Amino acid sequence: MMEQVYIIDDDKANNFLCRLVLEDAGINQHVHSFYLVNDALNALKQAIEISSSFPDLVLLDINLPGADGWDFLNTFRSFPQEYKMQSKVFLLSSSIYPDDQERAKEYPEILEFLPKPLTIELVERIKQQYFAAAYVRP
Amino acid sequence: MYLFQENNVDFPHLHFNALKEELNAILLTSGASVLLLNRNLEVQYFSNEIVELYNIKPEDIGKKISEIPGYFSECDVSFYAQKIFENNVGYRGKITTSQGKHYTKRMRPFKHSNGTVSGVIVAFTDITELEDAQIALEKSEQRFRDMAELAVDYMFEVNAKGIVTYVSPGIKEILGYEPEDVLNQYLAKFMPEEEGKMVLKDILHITKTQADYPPLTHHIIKKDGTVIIVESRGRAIKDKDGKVLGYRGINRNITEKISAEREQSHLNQLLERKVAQRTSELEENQKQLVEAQRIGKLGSWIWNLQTHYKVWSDMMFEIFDVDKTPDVSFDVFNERIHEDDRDFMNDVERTAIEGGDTHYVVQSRIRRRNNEIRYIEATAHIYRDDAGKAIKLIGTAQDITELKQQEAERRKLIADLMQQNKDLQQFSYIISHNLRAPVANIVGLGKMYRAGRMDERNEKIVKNMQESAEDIDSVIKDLSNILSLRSGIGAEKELINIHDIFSTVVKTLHPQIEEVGAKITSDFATAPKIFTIKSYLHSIFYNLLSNALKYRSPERNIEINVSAGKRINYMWISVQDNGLGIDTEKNREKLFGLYRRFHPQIEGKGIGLYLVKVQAETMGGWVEVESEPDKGTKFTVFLSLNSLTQNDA
Repeated sequence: MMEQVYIIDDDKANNFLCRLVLEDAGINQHVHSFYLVNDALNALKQAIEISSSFPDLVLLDINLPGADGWDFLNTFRSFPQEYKMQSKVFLLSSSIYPDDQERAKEYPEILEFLPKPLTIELVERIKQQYFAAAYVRP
Repeated sequence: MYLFQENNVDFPHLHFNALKEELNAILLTSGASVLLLNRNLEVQYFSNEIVELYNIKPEDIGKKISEIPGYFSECDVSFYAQKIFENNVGYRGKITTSQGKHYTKRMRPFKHSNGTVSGVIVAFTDITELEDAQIALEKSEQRFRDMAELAVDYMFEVNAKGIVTYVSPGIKEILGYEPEDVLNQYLAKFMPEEEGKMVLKDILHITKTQADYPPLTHHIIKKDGTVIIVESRGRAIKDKDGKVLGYRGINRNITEKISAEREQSHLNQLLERKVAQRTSELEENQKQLVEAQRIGKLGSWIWNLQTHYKVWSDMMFEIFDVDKTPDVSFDVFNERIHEDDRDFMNDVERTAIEGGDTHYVVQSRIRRRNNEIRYIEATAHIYRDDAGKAIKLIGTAQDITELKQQEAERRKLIADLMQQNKDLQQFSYIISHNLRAPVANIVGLGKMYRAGRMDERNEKIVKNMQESAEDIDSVIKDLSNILSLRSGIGAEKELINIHDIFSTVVKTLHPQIEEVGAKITSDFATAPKIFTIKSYLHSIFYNLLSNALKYRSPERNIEINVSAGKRINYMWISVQDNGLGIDTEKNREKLFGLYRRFHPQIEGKGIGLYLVKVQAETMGGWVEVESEPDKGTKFTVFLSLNSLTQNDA
C-alpha cells in the first residue's frame, strides 16, 4: 500500500505536479516534498530514531543543489536493512545525460529511471507493478 | 814461356841453340798454340798459349800427350797423330773448348831432313770471334729477310730523283703491285696527285740540302684504286763523301691503326662527354643535396669510432652553430647539447653502440651561441665489423624546432578541441536537461489541467506552467550568453588598467558590500595593466566578488583580498575570501560545472563560476581554486600572455 511518499527535487513546479498526479491516483495523505537531499535524509534518520516507518515510494531527482541524488543514495544505503526495504526508490529526472543512466545501474536501490513528467498512467503502472501485492495482503 | 828443352834425345840433329831464339820470336808474335810430339807421342815442346787447351806444366815435357788432360773432347790428338805417322799426311779440324772457345786444329808431320817423320806438330788457332760474327751475321740476315717479307711492311729504295730502284716482295701483299710494276717508276706516281708532288719536292729538297729524311705519313693508291695510309721511315743513302744518293725506307700500312685510333679517339670523346655529363649530374645532385639539406635543415655526419674522426656536412655546422672545421671534436658537439639533455643523449648513444643496435634515433635540445634553444632529431646507423664491434656511425641531424612547435601547437589544438568537444557535449546535456525539466513540467501540468474550470487547482497549474516557461526563457538566455562567450564574438582585446575595471565592479556591487560590511583590499602594483577583453575581465571580477560576498561565513567579518601578478608566460588575478569554503577534494570536478550549486541555502543559479571558467579559457587561460570548508576560498585566474600576444599578432 502506498501510504507515504517522498519527493526529493528542487523544482517547485515538478513537486506541485507530482502532488497533483499522486492525488489524482488516490495518494494524498502523506506526500512530502524536499527541496534538499539533506532535509530528506534528516527526515529518514528521524524516522529511525522514533521507530517510525520509511516512505513506501521515493521519487528522487539527480541534479540538486549541494548534495545530489547520488549522495542521497549513498547515505540511504547505510540505513538499516529493515528500514531500507520499506522504500521503493525511483529516479525521476529530465536528465538525458548517458552517464546518469549508466550510473543508475550501479544502484540496486533504484527500481527504475523515470522520465519527467510524472503522469497518472505512470503512477498507475507503478502501483500495479510494485505495489499490487500490498493490495491483496489481508 | 817454356820453349825447347836442352838434351832433346829425339831431335839430336836440331841445332837447338840456333833455332831457339828465332822460333820463340815467331811463336810469340803469332800467338799460336803449338805442341810438338815425338814418335812415341810424348810432348817435346809446347808454346805458352797451349795452356788454354791443356792442363800442361813444364815438367810434363816427355810425358805422353794422352796422359795430359785437355779442355776439349771432340778430338783424340793421339789417334790422329798415329794416322799421320802411318800415312805421312796432315790433318785439320775444329774443336770447341769447355770454355766455349772455338779453335781450328792443324796437325802436320815433322820431317827430318832425310825425309823421315820424327814427330807431329799440332797447332791450334783461336777462331772464336770469327765464329760469333758468322752466327750474328746469319741471324741478322734472317731478321732482315723476315722484316722485308712481313705483310704489313715493304721496303724500298729510291734514287735522288725519287725513282724507285728497289722494292721488297711485300709490296704485292700491301699494294697489289708486283715489284716490277713499281721499279723505275716515280715514287710520287703511286700517291694522290697533290701529295705526290709535295713528296717529290721534299725528296729533291732533301737531296739538295743533304739532310736526313724525317718519318712521314702519306697516302698510297693501291692497284685496285683504294687508298691506304702508310707510315714511311727510313734513311738517306749516302756515299762515302756524305752525298745523298737516295732513300731507303720501310712503308708500313697504318690504315687500320689510324682508323682504330680514330675509333679510339671517337670513343674517348664519347667517354669524356659522358664523364662530363655524369660529373655535371653529380654536381647537380650535390647541389640539390646541399639545397635539400639546407631546406630540410638536415645535416649528415660520419663518425669513425676507430680513428675518432668526425666529418660533418656544411649544414651540421649551421644547425649546431659551430665554426667549420675538418675534424669535429666531441667537446664542441657536447657543448651545444642542452645541459639537461647531455646525459640522456650520451646514454642513448652509448647504449645503442654497446648494446648491438643497428641504429638509433634521439631527440634533444641544443643551445646555440645566442642562447636560442632548438630541437634536434639525430638518426644514426651503426656499422659493425664481423665480431659485432661498432666501427662507424653514419647519421643525420635535423632541426625539428618548427616541427616540434607545430606538433606542440597541433597537440594543444587537439587537446583544446577535445576539451571543447567534451565541454560542448556536457554543455548540451546540461542545457537539454535544464530545458527539458521545465518543458516536462509544462507537458505534465498540461495533462492535469481540467479545461473549462476556473478553480484553484487550475489556477495553480497555470501559475506553475508560467514559472516553468520563465525557466525555459532563462535557460535560453544563459545559453545564448554562454555561446557568445565561447565563440568570443564582439570581444576586442585592449590594454586595460586592471584597477579601473575592479573599481567599476566594486561600485556595481556596492549595496551588497555595504550590506554585509565586507572589507575589500586590492593590490595590482606588480601587474597594473593587462591586454585582454574588457567585458570578460569585468565579468570575472563580478562573479568572483559576488560569490565571495554570497558564500560568506556567518561567523566572521568578511574580508576579500584581490591581487594580480605575472609569471613567466602568464598573468594571474586572484580573489581570496574568508567565507564558507568548499570541499575541493570532493567537488573539484563539479565546481565549475554549469548549474552546479554547493550551498543550497543560498540563492544561486550555478552559472557564475562556469562563466569565469569559460571566459578564462576563451582568453587562453584557466582557473585554479584553493579552498577549505569554513576557512575560505581563493580563486586564481591565469591568462596566457603567449596566447594573448599570438592572437594579437
